[in-house]
Amino acid sequence: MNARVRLLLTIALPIILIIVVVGVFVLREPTTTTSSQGTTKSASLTHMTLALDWTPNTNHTGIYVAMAKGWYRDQGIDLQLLPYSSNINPDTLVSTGKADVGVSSTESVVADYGVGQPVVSIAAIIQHNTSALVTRADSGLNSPRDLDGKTYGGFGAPYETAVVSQIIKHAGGKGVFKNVTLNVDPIQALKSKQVDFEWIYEGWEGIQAEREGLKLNTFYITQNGVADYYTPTIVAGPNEIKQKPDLLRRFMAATSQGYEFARSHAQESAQMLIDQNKGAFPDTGLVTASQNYLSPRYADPGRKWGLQDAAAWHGYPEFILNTGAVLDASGKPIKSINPDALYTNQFLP
Amino acid sequence: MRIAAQPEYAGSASLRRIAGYGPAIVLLVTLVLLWELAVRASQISPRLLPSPFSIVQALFDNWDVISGHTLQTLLETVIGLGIATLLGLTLAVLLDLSPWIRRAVYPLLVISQTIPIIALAPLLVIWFGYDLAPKVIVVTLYCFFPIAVACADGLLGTDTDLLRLMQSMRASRWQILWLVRLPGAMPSFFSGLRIAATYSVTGAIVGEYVAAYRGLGLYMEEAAHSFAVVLVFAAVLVTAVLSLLLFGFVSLLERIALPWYQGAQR
Repeated sequence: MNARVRLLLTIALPIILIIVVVGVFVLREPTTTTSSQGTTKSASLTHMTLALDWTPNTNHTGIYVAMAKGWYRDQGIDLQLLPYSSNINPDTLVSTGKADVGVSSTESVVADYGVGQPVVSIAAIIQHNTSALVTRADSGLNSPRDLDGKTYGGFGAPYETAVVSQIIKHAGGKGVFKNVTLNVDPIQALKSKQVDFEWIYEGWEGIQAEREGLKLNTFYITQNGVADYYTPTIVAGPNEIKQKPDLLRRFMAATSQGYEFARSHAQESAQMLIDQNKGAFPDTGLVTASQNYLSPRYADPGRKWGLQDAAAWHGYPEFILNTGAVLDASGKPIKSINPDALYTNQFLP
Repeated sequence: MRIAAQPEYAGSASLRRIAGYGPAIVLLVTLVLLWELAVRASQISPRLLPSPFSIVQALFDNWDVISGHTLQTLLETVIGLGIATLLGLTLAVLLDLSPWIRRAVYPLLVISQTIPIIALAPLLVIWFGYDLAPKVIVVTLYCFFPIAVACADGLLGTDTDLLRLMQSMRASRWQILWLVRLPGAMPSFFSGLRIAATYSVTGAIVGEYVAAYRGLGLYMEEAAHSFAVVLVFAAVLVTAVLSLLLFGFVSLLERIALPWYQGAQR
């Protein structure tokens, strides 16, 4: 090989590599569809984006049911789910207009209010708080009072120290504990004894622990001195509410149809969640078990899905405000909050 | 005589080359075997630490899903690495233009590497969306620096005798750059490129971990949230293989471009 051929090859080979990779990618693209539905007649549909608060799970079942059944399309909506991101809050996406709606929680909505990034909760996905502090059953930590000085595996939210501390104090402890922010599966962290206690959703991690044979002591937060509040909830931005009330009404009509279906058809709706997230659930049994737990809990029997009560929206904000854990954008605790501005039932069918 | 001798020489050279990897392979196999034995002997829960065998098996069982994610990651990686190479080369030449530019720009390049990507990546997503752009930018940010710095150092280290010779022949600045300095900087450039290739896949995965529709980073995150540690390891294995392949590709390019240099190294 002479110098010219060598030079040409050195430049050409990387270009060929890039072309080949792009080519294979483009060829394979049509076979794999994105989560956007109804591409054929999307011209007549209104495009709408929804930001998830976590990787797909049974909290989101109703949305996936409505997508699978084509109920959003029936309402003239082409719904696109934005992928979950551990570093981008769905509330930020909603309040900056990057997403139309998002999945959030009462805790986040109140915290957003503090920093002047307001979002409004338009539906409660689960009617009662199912979250709990848990310890290993063999740890000897049998009351929240025993958690003083122990290590808590947290997820880095501004409100968690206040809530956990309140639970310990309520049981007669001092409310002082070590908080380690983890980015790992809470049940694995408990199992390997890296932390002493965790704050989990009974309907997901609780069931996971059960399936893995890990016995837990469970302290539901609502039974331990914390007001009942909604988590998760569906949120929209104030601008969206002003400018597109009709779109939100249609969105909620389809979403509520989806959750109502999931309430009465646990197995079937769990399967729809699994089918639309190929590869995301290696243990499909966990999804079904979790769905069986959650379906009757989306709303109390005889009650419409999604409704939010004033009591729940007053209790938690008052409690968390008193702890001084709601901060404004410059990091100072705020003094007052108008809870009625944080939620609305007006878009529910 | 010479022609007849050549294939034999080439053959023994490539044999020697393969034999050169012997110790690495032996060490790798030993470590993997120890891992497998340790997991089996200690009865660690496979949800905490899966055995190598079960990882490979999970990889094959889920290949139809993983392959799509792999392709996405590979696409982001090669585009990002391509842009980083062009950018790195351009910057190296630019730094070389005058000591003043070098003094002004070099600190900025270093500062660009002090930004924690994990803090920048979410902003990139908010600015550029969920598609290819933010991941390609992350890969480029990871990769251009070693290329630019190594290449700039290579340009600085030009043989002064050769420079004087060219100057005495009244060669222009660009002729000197093209004929003497750039070829002379190639070994350094390839060292930088090899480092960049090793980092590139990880860069794409960091980008995907923040937000993506598809890709190995997203797959790892989903698998972790579904408590499937073995699939996380399977994705890690794919990442390692991709990085090694890219590293190998750069070494191949280097052998084509600078056969004398590779030969002299051994």
